[in-house]
Amino acid sequence: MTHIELKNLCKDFVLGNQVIHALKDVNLKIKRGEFVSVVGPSGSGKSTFLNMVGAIEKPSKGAMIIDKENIVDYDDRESSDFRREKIGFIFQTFNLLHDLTARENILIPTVPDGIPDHANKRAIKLLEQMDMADRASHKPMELSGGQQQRVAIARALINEPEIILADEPTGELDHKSGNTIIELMKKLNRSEKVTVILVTHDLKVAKMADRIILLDDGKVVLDKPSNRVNIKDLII
Amino acid sequence: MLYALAIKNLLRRKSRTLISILGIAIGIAMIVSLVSISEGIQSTVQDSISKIQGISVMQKGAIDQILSSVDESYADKISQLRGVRAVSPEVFAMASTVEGREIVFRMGAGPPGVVIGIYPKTYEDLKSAGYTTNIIEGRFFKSDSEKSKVVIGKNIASKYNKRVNQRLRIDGESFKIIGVFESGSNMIDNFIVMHIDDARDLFNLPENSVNSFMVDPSNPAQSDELAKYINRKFSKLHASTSQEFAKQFGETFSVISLFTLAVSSVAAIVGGLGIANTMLMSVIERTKEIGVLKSVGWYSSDVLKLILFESIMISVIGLIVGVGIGSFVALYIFPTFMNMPALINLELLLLATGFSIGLGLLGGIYPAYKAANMSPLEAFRGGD
Repeated sequence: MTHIELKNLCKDFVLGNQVIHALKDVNLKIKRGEFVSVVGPSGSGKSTFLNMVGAIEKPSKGAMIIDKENIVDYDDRESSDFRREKIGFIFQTFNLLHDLTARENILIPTVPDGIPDHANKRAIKLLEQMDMADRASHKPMELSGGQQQRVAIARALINEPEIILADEPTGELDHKSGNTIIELMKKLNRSEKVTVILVTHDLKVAKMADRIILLDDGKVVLDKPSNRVNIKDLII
Repeated sequence: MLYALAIKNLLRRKSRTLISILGIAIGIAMIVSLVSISEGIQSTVQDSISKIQGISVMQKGAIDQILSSVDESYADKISQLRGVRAVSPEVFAMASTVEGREIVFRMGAGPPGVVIGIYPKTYEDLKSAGYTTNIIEGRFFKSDSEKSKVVIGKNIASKYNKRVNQRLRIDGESFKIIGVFESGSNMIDNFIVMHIDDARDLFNLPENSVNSFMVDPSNPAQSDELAKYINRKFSKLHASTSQEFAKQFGETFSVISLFTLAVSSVAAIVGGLGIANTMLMSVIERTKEIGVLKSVGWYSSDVLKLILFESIMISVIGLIVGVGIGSFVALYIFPTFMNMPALINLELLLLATGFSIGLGLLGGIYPAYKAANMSPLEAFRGGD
């Protein structure tokens, strides 16, 4: 069942007198519960693609159908609702708020809804799931990189999103911590039936997904199940 | 958590927050202290003036007796008017030293300094003359021949620990104290009354000139009409009943109060600019953080509330500190040195509150607007 559908998606940026075509007529369908890696060289349009799906940026042209709604038509408030209710973001640099504890960071997306009771309970449950229960009151600076990223994952999951968008989530982590994070995301993908879109430079990490999409110069140049892709196919 | 986050944000840059709070606090302290002191002075002086009975006649345009100068010959002209019972010429001067102690000018109150010179006989004719109606010790002058003598207000007596028959040195000259009066006004009880010739000698005042006349109407109920009549008859003079004079003084002083408020408001506005600067810096530094909040689904209005709450917190703390400092200056320091109360009323506190919160809102509105309109894309930009 199609969860996300991109139709003729284009994104142009104007830099001085130059128009940069970040995405060129991208057409894609992603099924509900799929774990997709998006790879490609720098400037290929990976991050722009992720921002479009997360309603952070609007395309210059085309449609983006998520749960049968074209999110391109959303206004600022609808986009916020969409991000809060349906999307969980995981960033390369974790982006935790340094003054807040791990538990408070996890609860941040629930602030516009007044932090309901069930969110508090879920935050504790997520900390346990992340094996971070004993770190609930710790501030980010008191945690390792891997622990910070686990808090960030818990924050992404607090509102029970349908889609996880991860932008280089292992970029700041050592190999071991990186693998743990990807394993954790795969586990969540299976247990919570969450659709995961993972943008990465790391081709070994990309191979851990169900499906790999290779972008180059704003176009999809490869789109295959990961078990049918060789790492050398991904090198441009 | 929004409010907890706002407080934590303020605590993150403690010194910067503290400076912003101080900026507002100084402005508010100035408003509270200067306005309350100004109100206190106005109220005390008006209260004192209103205790003086009769009609005061001064040079037209002069705001008080000290600054007025009129020809003494007007005394006869005024006394011939219908409805006038008695006219007493008066000279006013500020003593430099009393009992060898230097006198600092203190807005009409505080330690003694004002000397009034009168013709004792004429003055005695005034039925309702204001300053000395209540002699609590000794007596008033009996005749015009009594020179080198003074009648002093009770504040002078207590300040210099003097009693009747003792001597009081004014600007190096010695005078015998023959009486002590109590007027009910803190200001008037600091006056020293002496023979007009003694006052002229002591302060080198011109012979034919006086500061003012005290006029006693035949019928006190017709004081207002008589004052108007004097004004119509003598274009260079201005006559007013004490109530009217108090009102005029109040109007004149209101301008000074307004000016005081304007000056202190400028200080508070500078404090408000401090808030704007602090909040703007804070928003710029937290660009990525704000991007994260928006990317996880915060509405622009949540971000707006967060930043505005921070700036209002600064202004509220500044208000509390400012009111504290201002009240301390007005209620403890000023009365200690000036022997006059300051007036802090609810209106002033509401003004300070409105001003402070208004500045907090104004100072925060642009940074908050800027933050609210930041793109969530900022969260994806590299680095912290």
